[in-house]
Amino acid sequence: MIINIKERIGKEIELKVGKTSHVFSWQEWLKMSSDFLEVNSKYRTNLLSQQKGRYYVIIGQENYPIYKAYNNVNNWLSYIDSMIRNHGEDIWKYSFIYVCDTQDEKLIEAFVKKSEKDADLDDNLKKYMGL
Amino acid sequence: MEILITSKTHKGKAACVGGLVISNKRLVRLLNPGNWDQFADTDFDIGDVWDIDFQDREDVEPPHIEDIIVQSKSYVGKVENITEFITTLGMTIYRGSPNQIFNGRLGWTGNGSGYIGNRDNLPSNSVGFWISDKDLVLDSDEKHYTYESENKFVTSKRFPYVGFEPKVDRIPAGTLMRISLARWWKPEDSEMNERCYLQLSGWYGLPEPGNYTSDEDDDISEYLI
Repeated sequence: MIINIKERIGKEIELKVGKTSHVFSWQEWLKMSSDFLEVNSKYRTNLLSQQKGRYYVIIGQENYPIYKAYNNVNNWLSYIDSMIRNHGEDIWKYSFIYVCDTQDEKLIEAFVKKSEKDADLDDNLKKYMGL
Repeated sequence: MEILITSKTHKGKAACVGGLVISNKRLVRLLNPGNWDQFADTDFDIGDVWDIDFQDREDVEPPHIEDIIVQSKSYVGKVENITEFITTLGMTIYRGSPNQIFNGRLGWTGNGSGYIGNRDNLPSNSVGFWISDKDLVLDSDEKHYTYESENKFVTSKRFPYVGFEPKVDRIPAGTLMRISLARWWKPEDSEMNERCYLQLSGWYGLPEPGNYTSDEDDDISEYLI
């Protein structure tokens, strides 16, 4: 069961407010948002994540008009992991995440590479455990 | 000392047999002289109580500190309700989500495998008991059980099942399970650090597949001629 992160990146965003639904391209959405926040430095997991202005991560909730955008985040999966490890899974109630990289395809390549690495590890682990 | 056999898991062609020293609640792994695991057809069965003379293994590597060398053994009897026995004995039982196992020390891979990787923050031993707050469901590969995450951005946790007992389709929430850590390992030619991966050794108190009658079966029987 490999999460296909590639499918979640760079697509248009659907915002649901009550029974009303609005669809925006992520670029449009980015311009509209007035709630830009920096990720706290303690959640930054590597040097790349501190390259200013390169990465944007947009998160939101389907049922409420609550949304945030973070920049300077590269290792998003580790970021999530840190948040949940420190605060528990309940803290993560967002229903969509979009990640954008100002350098075309680099982030997608990184996620795909991570997925492949996870799959390789899974195969090796099965052999090791005799499954 | 009297030891309750709590697990029997596959380890290559051998059987890794785990137990519980009843008098002092110590969790042990029963090896033969020479540090060999038990043969697959060992007469140790889960629920058995054996009176065993043993020595501690000398060259243990934490967190796998349970190894003992069996010197002699004699059969004592059988515990029918292991869940009740372990609970009454006051053994530590992790309860809740997988994040509670080993007091939150586990990391999780992108595919949901649990592991211990930090040698500076090891659990006190490599086995434990766990009661999940949600059902575990047998994967389509019939090798793993999955604890589904309700949060789509949190990877579902997967537990490789290594026990000898027949698989069931679902392990209901509230079932006492035994979990353990495999020995330190990393893939060949990998730059990763060694890790101890989490595995599901077994569960207690569930009927074997095909050995129960459900309410639905009773209902259907009313319509049979």
